[in-house]
Amino acid sequence: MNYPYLNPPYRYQFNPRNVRYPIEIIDREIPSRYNEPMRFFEAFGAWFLGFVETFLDFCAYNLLIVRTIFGSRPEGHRSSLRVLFKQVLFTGYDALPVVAFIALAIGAISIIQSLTYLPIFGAERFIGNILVTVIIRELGPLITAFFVVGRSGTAVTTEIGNMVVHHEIEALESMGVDPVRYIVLPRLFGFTASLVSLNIYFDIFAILGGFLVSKFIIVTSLATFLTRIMDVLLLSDVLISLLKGFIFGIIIALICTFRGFSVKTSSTEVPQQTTKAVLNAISAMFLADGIVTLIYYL
Amino acid sequence: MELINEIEQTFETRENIIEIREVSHSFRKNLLLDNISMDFPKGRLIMITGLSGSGKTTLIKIIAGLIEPDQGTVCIEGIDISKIHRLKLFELRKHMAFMFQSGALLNNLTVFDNIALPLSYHFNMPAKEIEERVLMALDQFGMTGYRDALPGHLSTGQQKLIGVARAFIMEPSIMFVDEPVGVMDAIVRERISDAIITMRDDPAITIIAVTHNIDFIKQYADYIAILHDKCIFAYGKRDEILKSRDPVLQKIMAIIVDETDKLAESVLGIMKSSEDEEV
Repeated sequence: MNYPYLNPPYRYQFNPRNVRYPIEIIDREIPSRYNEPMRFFEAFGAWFLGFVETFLDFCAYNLLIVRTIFGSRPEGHRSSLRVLFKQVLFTGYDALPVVAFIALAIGAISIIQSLTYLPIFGAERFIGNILVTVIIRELGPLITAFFVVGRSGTAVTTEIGNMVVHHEIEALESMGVDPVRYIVLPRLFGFTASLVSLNIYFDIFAILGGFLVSKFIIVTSLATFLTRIMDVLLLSDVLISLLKGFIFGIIIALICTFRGFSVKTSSTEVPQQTTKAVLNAISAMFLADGIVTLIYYL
Repeated sequence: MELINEIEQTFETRENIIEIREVSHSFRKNLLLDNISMDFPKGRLIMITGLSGSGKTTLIKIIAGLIEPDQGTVCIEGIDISKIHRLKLFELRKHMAFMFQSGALLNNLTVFDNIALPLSYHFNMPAKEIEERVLMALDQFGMTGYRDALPGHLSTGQQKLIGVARAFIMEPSIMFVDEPVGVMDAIVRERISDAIITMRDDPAITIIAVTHNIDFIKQYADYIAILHDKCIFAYGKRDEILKSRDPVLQKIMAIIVDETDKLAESVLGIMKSSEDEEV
């Protein structure tokens, strides 16, 4: 007998010599392929409800942070400032060498690619425009943010997750230390300040990288190169770049700390939440980037 | 400022410092605590005991406001902590301290910073004064040499001592203690016991402790509460409970003693085998 709709484990139950089979099949759960459409809807429903629940939790979390920022409780500034300085040191200062290296490389690569194709169209003079549009307005904020998510965002999620598992958050609460004020706000301000600063730093080094390559290929002086860039660089370009850095800093800090606090009891949740933090932060950053760029061009 | 005054005034006037009413709590659909109501008199050492997994730690965390119960109310000095604003709850917690079973130190801070944190966070105290108070606390617990160590470099007993020092430095009105003298060496146990006894002698301080250690209960408790089958099975003055002839109560106490002995034996066994290996 062939029952194609049954999964292998159920097939042997249908041996005609097995007299109990009609009763057993009634007692058992319905074979899986019968359920597939239902299972899909069930899984989708569970995912959707989970998504809505997480989103609402995240909204409540953000509201709590806003209320804490504008709350009038004067305590904890000194302790929180220490955490803020440490965060800026880790996220901003310690990242300078690597960001400089990446920026030099990106600047150089952009110019090499441009100088390969622009002369074909007789458009070498647009090198400045490319650097401004591609690096200062788009790649600078995004690559810096990627770097900060990978380096500091994951560290923050892991740190907070482990603090939850080891009851350190409970210990803070038991001492009357507000975890939002002591842990989240320094990270929020630290990430935002670091990202805006790293963004400027990235732009400077990317332009320098571009200049070094141009110097070898089209033999230009620094003054000429900078003049070309300054000719096309508008204040709005710089502001949009800084604005993106500011927004990305907030996004990374909020999502990474939220994911850290989402760890409940087990240390195995820590890497899971860290992965989610990275994915969520990157998705949210692209969304925000798209919205800001759209508003800029509208 | 009005809020601080209000809380400080209430701390001086009431007879029962904590009242819990009809508290129930579940964890992953398993009922842990069922309809518990208790009053905690001011200035006493109340010990909650029970079998392993009976929900003692959950109960003490609910009383301290660290876990929100599914049902019921917890009033500290007449203030229902489930209904107050979280900032007010943090204000209230300045008068409370919680000593965790594991120490629960902040792993990225040194021993000094761990103890100094509640002081530097809550009070606008000069750094010099904070340092003096922290060093005094370290000295009291024989941990002066470890001021710059990170918690990861300390043994479990030492971490616990630092946790106690951190709790004591706040000079709390209510002290919550989770397994103060669990399985640890005699010196650490003695130092923690001494500190708790000193606090017990102060009539302004109420201590609520969860413990398995029947000797500690017999020696120091003013009141004993026995948690069994998700409920408070017995609650009363120490002598009333210890001298009770209720067969069920006696059986529970015997099991608790047995559990403590077995735990101690197993730890001693581990220690002995590791010593043998070293030899």
